[in-house]
Amino acid sequence: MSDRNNSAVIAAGSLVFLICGAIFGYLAGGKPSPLALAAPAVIGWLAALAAARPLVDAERRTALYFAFGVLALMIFFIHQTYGYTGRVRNFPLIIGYTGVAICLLDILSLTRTSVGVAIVRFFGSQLDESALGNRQLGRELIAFAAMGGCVLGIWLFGFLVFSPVFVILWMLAGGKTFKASVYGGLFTLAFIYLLFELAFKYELYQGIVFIMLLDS
Amino acid sequence: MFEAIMESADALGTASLHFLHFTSLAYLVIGTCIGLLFGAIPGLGGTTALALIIPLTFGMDQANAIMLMGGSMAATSTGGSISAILLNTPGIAPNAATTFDGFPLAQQGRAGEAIGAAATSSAMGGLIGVFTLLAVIPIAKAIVLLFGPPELFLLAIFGLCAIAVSTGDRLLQALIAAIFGFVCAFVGFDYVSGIVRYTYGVDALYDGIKLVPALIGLFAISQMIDLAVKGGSIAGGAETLNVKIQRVTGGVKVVFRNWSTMLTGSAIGTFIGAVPGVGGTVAAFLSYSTQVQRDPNPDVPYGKGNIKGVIAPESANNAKDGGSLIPTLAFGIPGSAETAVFLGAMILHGLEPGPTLLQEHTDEIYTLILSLTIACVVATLIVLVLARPMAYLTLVDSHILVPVVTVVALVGAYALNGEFGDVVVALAFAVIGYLMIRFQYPRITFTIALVLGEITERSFFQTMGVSDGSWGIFVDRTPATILIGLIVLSLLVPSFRLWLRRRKKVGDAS
Repeated sequence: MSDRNNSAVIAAGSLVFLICGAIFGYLAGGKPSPLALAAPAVIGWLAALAAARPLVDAERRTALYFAFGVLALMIFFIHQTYGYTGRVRNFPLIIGYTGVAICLLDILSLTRTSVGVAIVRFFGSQLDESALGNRQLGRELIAFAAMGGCVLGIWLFGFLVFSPVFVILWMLAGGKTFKASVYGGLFTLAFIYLLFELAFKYELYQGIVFIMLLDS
Repeated sequence: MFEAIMESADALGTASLHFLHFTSLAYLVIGTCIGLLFGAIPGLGGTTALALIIPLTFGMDQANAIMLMGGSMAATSTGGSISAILLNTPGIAPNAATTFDGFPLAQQGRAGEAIGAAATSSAMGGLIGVFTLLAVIPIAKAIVLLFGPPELFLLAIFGLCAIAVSTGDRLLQALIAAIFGFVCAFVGFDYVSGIVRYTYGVDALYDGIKLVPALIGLFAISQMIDLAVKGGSIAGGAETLNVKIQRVTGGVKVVFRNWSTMLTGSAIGTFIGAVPGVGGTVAAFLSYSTQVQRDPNPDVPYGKGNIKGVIAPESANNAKDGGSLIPTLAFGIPGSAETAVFLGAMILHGLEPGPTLLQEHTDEIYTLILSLTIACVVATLIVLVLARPMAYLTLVDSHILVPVVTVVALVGAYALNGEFGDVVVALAFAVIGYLMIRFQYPRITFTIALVLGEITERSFFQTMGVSDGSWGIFVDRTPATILIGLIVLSLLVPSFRLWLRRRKKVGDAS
């Protein structure tokens, strides 16, 4: 996109964001309906994202999207807090609005504008870009999936059955020999059983499959 | 004052009785071994060790639980010095300064001497830090009585700001993390209003986000995800282990010959430790640089294997443990991530952080102090005897470590209440923890806000109740006004730091 188009996006996005912020504030000042607050919150968030994107260097974009995710969570939190009344929401609202202000400063600090530079100087929010770039999304997704799979496996088959299986599978995937992997699995099983079941007398989760089998 | 001292002496006597039981001592030694192990393996550290230990303490009485955790806390940095000296890889961040002279010593065949000196200065530093804590407790008790709800509220905010500032160049991100810690702390039953908030019908959230599964996910499992993503062996360079470990006792003696280095390091460590959030890394580096400045014409240049370059940081990073417990115990403001997790564990055992702790649980506090004292000595003895086999543990492959630690952590998360929902909470916080590592949002402020969230909201509520909703109460009371000043000052620190850097640059240029 050309510089002129970028400038138009930045100006329009900022304007829409400010208008949405004003509407949000006006609605929140009366008797706010969470549903009425949702529209300016979502539109304002999208406009701010559109306005900020051209101002951020490509290598910092991942951090920008994450910062916008954090801002979205903060706005969602405020939106939800207006569902409560009176004293219950006072402190959470203070925290929520402070959070939005800091999130906006964080987003601005990622931009290559004079405001962004000033924020970095005043608050100190240097981003280690080399650390950001060294990660591989594929490996991260595999690690998340493996952890999720581990919890799912434990939910289905219980700790004592699935824990050694998980260790064996992970070690095999990491290039360990079958023998070493089995030893690793057995060591883990023995450790968990001896420490938690025998020494500390915890009744470990048996897994939904075995619970259903026992019930039937 | 005399009464306070006598009361403290009485509590110390009662606490020392726990150490006459074999079981209690066994827990202390086990905790020390776990701390040494987790400290020695790069990438794990004391916070992970504590997060994994907490579930084991549920069935224990308070004293045994404190001894197990105290042992682990005291031994972590001693363990970290082994990998720093032998592998040039600090076990935990505060040991980084030890690598400057420790590793060159190992390359010169003086690894035993370096390990002996590191272990002894760690023990001496730790003991000095603990004795300072012991001396400060009776005075702190009198000070905390001046604190009412407005001061407690402001103190929590000040603690968070000070810790956020200490994260270096990530102040905004640390504050955002703290905000999210508060948000998570709001979930569940609100003890002030009696209303359940932000649970969305999930029964497991009615009692709020449980600390132990959250901490296990945030520190232990997220660290494992990070290791899995990075892959490979935790500490490379197995060839460096071929160095001989001998003349360990020579290293012990050299610490006492350089007693002024050890004392200066310990004093720096204790002082830095008492400032919330500054932590062992700053203490160790400051101690090292002070030593270099104090010794302009060394026999052996620093960075080339000067034994004083090992003594100075090691005595400081262990002394900080005692110092960091001063704000933790007196005001409920943890000085580091490790003490934040420890604080969470104390709450689980019915020991609420803050002023009431010093007034109502003196025995438990002195049990902790004695545990730290004994653990310092035990950790040193173990390191002196088992340095070499421990060094091999640091080479454990992440493909073995990750699955084993993950499943043990998940069992620990479940063990608290026997609810599978806690395992899911641990997994959710593991993902949050990993994203925080990935995008450089400090986890320490998140943890502290999560731990202090309820107390902070309650203090705010009480303050508003006392003042009939007037914010003027925060400036009408002198301690509160001082705390507001400190909060503002702490937020100005980054700008001041930058101004200093610029001035130095101008000075260098001219």
